[in-house]
Amino acid sequence: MTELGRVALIVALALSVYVAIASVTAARSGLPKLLVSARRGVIAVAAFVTLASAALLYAILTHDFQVHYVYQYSSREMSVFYLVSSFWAGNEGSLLLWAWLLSVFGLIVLLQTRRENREISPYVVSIIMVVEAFFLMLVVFVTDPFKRSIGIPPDGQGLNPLLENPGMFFHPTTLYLGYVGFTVPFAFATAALITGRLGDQWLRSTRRWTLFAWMFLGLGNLFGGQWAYVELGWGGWWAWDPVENASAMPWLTGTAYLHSVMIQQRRGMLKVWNIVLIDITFALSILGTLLTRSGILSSVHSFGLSNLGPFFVGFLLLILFVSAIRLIQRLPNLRSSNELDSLVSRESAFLFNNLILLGAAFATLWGTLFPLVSEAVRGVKITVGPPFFNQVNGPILLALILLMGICPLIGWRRASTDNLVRNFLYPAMAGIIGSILLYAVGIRQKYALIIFTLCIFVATTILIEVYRGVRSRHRSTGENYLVALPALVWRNKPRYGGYIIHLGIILMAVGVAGSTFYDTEVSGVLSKGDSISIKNYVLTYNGLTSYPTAKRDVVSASLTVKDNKGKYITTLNPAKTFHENHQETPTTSVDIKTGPIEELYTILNGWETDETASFKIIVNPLVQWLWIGGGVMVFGSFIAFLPDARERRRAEVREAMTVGLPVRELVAHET
Amino acid sequence: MKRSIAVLTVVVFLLAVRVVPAYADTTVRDIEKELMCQCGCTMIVEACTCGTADQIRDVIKTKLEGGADKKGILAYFVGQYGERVLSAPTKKGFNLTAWILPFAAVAAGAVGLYLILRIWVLQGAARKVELEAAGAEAGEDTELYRQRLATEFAKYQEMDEVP
Repeated sequence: MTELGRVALIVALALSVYVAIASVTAARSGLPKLLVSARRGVIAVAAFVTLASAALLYAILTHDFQVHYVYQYSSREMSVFYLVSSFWAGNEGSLLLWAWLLSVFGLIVLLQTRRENREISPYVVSIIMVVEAFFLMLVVFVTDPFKRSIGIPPDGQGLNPLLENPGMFFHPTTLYLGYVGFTVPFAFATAALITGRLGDQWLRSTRRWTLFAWMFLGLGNLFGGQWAYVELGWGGWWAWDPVENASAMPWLTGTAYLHSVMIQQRRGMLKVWNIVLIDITFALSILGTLLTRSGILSSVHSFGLSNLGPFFVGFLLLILFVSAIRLIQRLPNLRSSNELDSLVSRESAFLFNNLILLGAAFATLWGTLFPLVSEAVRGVKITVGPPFFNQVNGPILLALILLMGICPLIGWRRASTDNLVRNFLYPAMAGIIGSILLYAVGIRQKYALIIFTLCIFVATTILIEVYRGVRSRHRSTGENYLVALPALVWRNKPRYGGYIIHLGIILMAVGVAGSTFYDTEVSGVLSKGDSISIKNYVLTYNGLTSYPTAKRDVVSASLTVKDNKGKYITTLNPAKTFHENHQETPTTSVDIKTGPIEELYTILNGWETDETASFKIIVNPLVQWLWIGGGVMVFGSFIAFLPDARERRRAEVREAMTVGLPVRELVAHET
Repeated sequence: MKRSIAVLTVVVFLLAVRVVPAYADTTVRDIEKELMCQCGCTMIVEACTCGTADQIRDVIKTKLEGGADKKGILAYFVGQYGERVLSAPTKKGFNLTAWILPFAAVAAGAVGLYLILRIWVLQGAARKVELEAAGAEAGEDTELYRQRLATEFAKYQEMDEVP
């Protein structure tokens, strides 16, 4: 079966190269049969990569330990859930996952372009297949997932114990859907540059792809944060690690792109800028993959040292070079009549929003790469860790939250003074009153106070916008408010999906501010019966329990939690787990009392033979809002992602305008 | 203009520097946040639960009890492990570029964007004058056409905006 997988990969590589060349040749030479052949080639590539992926999965599930990858990342005692997730635990399998996802996306693009985008689709397909060929080349020639050992080991080494968490299943897969998803808008943008079809069509075709990739990249980061919080045992969820940064950067530039395309769609401006943004976003996705795999930067996530670095660097440079050349060649065609009615307009606000998002991405990139710069310039190894990113990105992201509130309040084209006063009055008042109340109840940490105030301001703008929409609908249709709200959202999914996303980000900001500025921590060595206090909690240590599970030994402590009046709250059992294959590195199993106000997070650090044990106890306020906000953000993205009938009708209107049909009739029909 | 950018950059940088919490009483945790664990985990000492982190904590505690200040304790660890033990670059020498460049880039971008937007506004105003002049010459038919266009556009906007 593995031989079949290897052959399938080689065939898929050859086919992807064929499709990349044939598709463009057919389009240029007007050879319909060759084009049909190339399109069928895309289906074949997807089929062969699926076959190879199935072969690897089969080898993992049947414990074929002669396959080195299976030996390295799985073992007999692992559940099917973790056996499946070991598919992407190492370089070889995760690169195959990349290639498989891209082949499926190529297939979807093929289906989507049966009727529309027929002129640029051969180039889109060709570019997707070039990227596919690159990843297939890696798995065929550099990191072969089907490499066999001479002997057959009786059992495998199994997963790194830290990876035995449900997060291992969801975090990499969602992250990859994001990374790989950005290939499609990049392919459309490049195809538009090659063909000179630089109108809005490619933007409209890629809006949902970009949203899809953006949503999954965000979701992947959330799953990663949740995983770190419950598995790594340090009480945090984001460490500004190079690999974490690598996944944040394309998300930030992707966010900028999702906002700036609105200006192109409405005003026909920023054509060059939008292409640059999507090119940067894709390049950063590749950079993220490079940082994870090359081992050039130390990271808790990296796959270790490998020889993949030069390949990714070469591919990244190729992408940037080709994109830049194509862009420069097409600059005369991309000139748009950039005219604004006023400096105070939503267009300006969106552009400042773009600046801030790119500033945050640049600060993150600069901080991530600065150790390499320092070593090259000074010959001194340094570290750029959380204090740097918190101090540099903190103010930038504050400005972003502020703009998130301001943008929807400023009208397109020109905002009159009346318009500004009317729109800003209530949110600003809410922000000011909210900050006074927060100050009165004891929120004195200045950055926390600023963040909470901004959150109140932005949340008020969103709620007022939604209220106005619901009221308008109630007046025009007579629907009651409860019926009008979902109908309103359903009738304009991109707009209200966007508001829901903003609301989710505000909830996340509340969680970040609460747990960053108000976390409390205490450490102590306790004997049986001793207590330790933190905030309103008193934790009493009852002793240790040791018990074996399959291939693991667990040492668990019992802590009775009461409030400071002696009322019983719960019992927590933080533990250390010793894995048979990784005895030297026991994993920390934290135990958490969760809640919307604060979480009590307990860590068992170590113990002595007399059962004295050392603990670290953390109280993390508001941290749950980070996950709730993340859920709201994903829900909003999903709403915005759904097909929008109004967008379709707008496209019909545009099409009618271009071919001279009576637009009025269409509009009248609509209204 | 250059002077304005320079002043803005310095102000932004000074604001950023002020973000550093001023610790009235230095605690072990304050110093833990500024040191990287040396066990290879790539985490700050505050976050790491390994034996190496515990040893570093003990040293910090002992030195604080012995009267050492934060600066002296950090210098001790730099002497032991090199600059890489610090969790953030120092704010001096070449390392300053790490701190300044992001703010300088955003500030320069803001100034550049403002100038571009001003040009676009001027272009918009010039075009409006051009159109008005052309409209006056064309007479009533154009006015009628413009009214029809405005009505159509309003309907289109309505379709776009009103839920």
